[in-house]
Amino acid sequence: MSTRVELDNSPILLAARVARAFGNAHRLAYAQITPELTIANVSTNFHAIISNPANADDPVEGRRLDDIFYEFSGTEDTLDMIMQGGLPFFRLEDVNRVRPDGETVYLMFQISPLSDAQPEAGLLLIVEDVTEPAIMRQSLTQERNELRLVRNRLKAANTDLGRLNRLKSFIVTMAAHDLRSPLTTIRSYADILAEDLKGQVENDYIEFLMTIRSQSDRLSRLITDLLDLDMIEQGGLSLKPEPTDMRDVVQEAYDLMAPNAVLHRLTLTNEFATEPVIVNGDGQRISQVLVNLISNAIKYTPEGGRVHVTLGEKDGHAVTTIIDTGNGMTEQQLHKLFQVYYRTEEARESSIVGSGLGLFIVKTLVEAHKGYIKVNSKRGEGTRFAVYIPLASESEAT
Amino acid sequence: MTNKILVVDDDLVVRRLLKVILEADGYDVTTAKDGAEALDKMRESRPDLVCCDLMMPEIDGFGVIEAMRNDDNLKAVPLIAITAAGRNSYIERALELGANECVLKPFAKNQLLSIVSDVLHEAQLT
Amino acid sequence: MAVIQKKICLLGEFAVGKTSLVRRFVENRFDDKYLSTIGVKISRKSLMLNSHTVNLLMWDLAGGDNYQGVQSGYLRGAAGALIVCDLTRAETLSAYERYLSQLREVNKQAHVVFLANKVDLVDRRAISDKELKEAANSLGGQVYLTSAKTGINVELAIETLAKKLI
Ligand SMILES: Nc1nc2c(ncn2[C@@H]2O[C@H](COP(=O)(O)OP(=O)(O)OP(=O)(O)O)[C@@H](O)[C@H]2O)c(=O)[nH]1
Ligand SMILES: [Mg+2]
Repeated sequence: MSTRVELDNSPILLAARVARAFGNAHRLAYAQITPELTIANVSTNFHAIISNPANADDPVEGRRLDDIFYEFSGTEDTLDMIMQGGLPFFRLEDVNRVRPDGETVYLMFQISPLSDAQPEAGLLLIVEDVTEPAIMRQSLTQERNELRLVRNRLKAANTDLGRLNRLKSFIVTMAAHDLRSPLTTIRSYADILAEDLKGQVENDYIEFLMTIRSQSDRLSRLITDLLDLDMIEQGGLSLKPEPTDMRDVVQEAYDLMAPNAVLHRLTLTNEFATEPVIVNGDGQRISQVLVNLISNAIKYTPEGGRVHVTLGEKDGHAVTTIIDTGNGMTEQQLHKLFQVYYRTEEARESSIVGSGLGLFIVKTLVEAHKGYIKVNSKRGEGTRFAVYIPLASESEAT
Repeated sequence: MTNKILVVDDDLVVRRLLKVILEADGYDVTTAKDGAEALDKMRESRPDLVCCDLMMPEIDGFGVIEAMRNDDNLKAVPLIAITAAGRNSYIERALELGANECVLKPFAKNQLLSIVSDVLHEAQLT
Repeated sequence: MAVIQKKICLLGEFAVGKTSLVRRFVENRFDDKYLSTIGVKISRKSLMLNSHTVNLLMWDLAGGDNYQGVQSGYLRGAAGALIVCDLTRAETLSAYERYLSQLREVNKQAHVVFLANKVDLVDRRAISDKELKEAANSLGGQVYLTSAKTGINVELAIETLAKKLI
């Protein structure tokens, strides 16, 4: 047995033969490295593969490894370890290189002992051009990373929105609270004054006091609307459904609004079912819906007009209609009617106070009861709102 | 004998309003500007009814209700919570803690007076 | 006069700006476009430091993510490392520690300087000075606020590291 290692081409040729057998010889280059880490000899395609522009025509044999491949600078310890048999190989994957023509190529470097039996005898460097698969991996990585960046930014934006939304909700609640206390005082003192001064001062003054009172009521309803809207937005709308006779609910709303009609010098009439009309619903919320619709009808109907409220049954639904002889609406106005903050041009230009929240809340409440609203309107003739709420099934009604 | 009512609200204007309304109806009214003062005054002289705002600094309305319900001498004193809060949860919590009634701001004078007399009446029956 | 050659690695999460920092330092250029690095790209730059010529080999590595770090082969023989986070992404700061421990596994004595990049994006800042200082202190290193875009502190930070290597 000889201890001398032939520094001939045989391992390289062997490797080359294997590579050729696998059909990727054109992407593989080899070099034999001495124990002193200089390059002994290289395969013929070596220059082409390593794309080392500066050294393209210079012979590399005899040069230091890290002179030609600065990828290996600082790795002497590691290479020593290989030659002492402490490490089977050292590999660098996907090393980017820019070719003289500006193209990026990706190379894989692997260094292992020339001979496993005698690792101290020298090293074999294999360089493989892995550009093709690397470009595919690059575009996958690119896509994945970009997606992650977008997702991160969305997440951050979402957190910000959530924070803003909670802040808004907090402000609405606090503002509502802080507005209600002074409103209470204004309204109540107006009440007390009107009562105590009746007969002692001119009637005009009493009317002024009543106006202060009714305007505070209006403001107070607006605050309630805002709170309801906030609650709907926070997803906190909760109903307490129970078997409810719609006749009671409609009557209550009707009675509440009757004085209002007198004030506006309108005729308020009704035609209610004589038999119970039972729905599975939250009476207070349905009443809120009807008060809103009736008060709207009163608001938008000129003096001397008429508002007619009916309750009946149709197709398994309790149907409440509110018909007015007001100015009616155009197609376009009808279309946007239930949007948040929508008010018709007229409503905005007239002296009528409203928030534009009411109908949105009405619609939400009715839909929460699995019901729906139909609106018919004709310019100059009037408007008809019909509220459909499913009748309670036999089992629910008992 | 005239009924003694203790009005608790951190807002001076509301305190005064409640005093005006209740005194006009013949009640004997004292006021307190926060929960701590209210509890002091109740312990000094037991009222027949407490009208208490819920949102106050330091000891709030809920704190007052709780303290009263844990005090043997004040346990039976009826309490009306008065709140401007828009949240049902406040009202529910106040009732759960032992408030007899809740009045929402803004209230109508007559509505308040009828609730006050109802609550007093009920308390005197039991 | 001896030429000293030193390898330094750039570590940090994907898209924090490692490639951009090297590009600014070596070519004094900046590109808004993001091209994910895979593997490693090695650039060279010579510096004159205290009458030494230092040949810096900058190993710009592909950024990792929570699940995968860098391949340890790349870290062998590094004399120093720049560990980079992105000031607009809070999660990239917590990665400092992971990269440092990965480096230490293969490389006990490499010097480390921390960079907090994209300081120009003031509006999108998601990491406070205090958080940064705390993180760097607990890992026992200096931290520099840099911008590959404006170039601020890029040379200072890298030269500070280079001086430690000679
Ligand atoms: N505004 C700003 N943008 C920067 C800065 N540094 C990098 N960028 C941008 O951030 C993106 C990512 O930069 P790269 O340098 O490619 O990031 P990387 O850390 O090398 O990313 P990987 O290679 O995937 O690990 C690119 O769009 C850069 O233009 C900076 O200081 N300021
Ligand atoms: Mg990169």
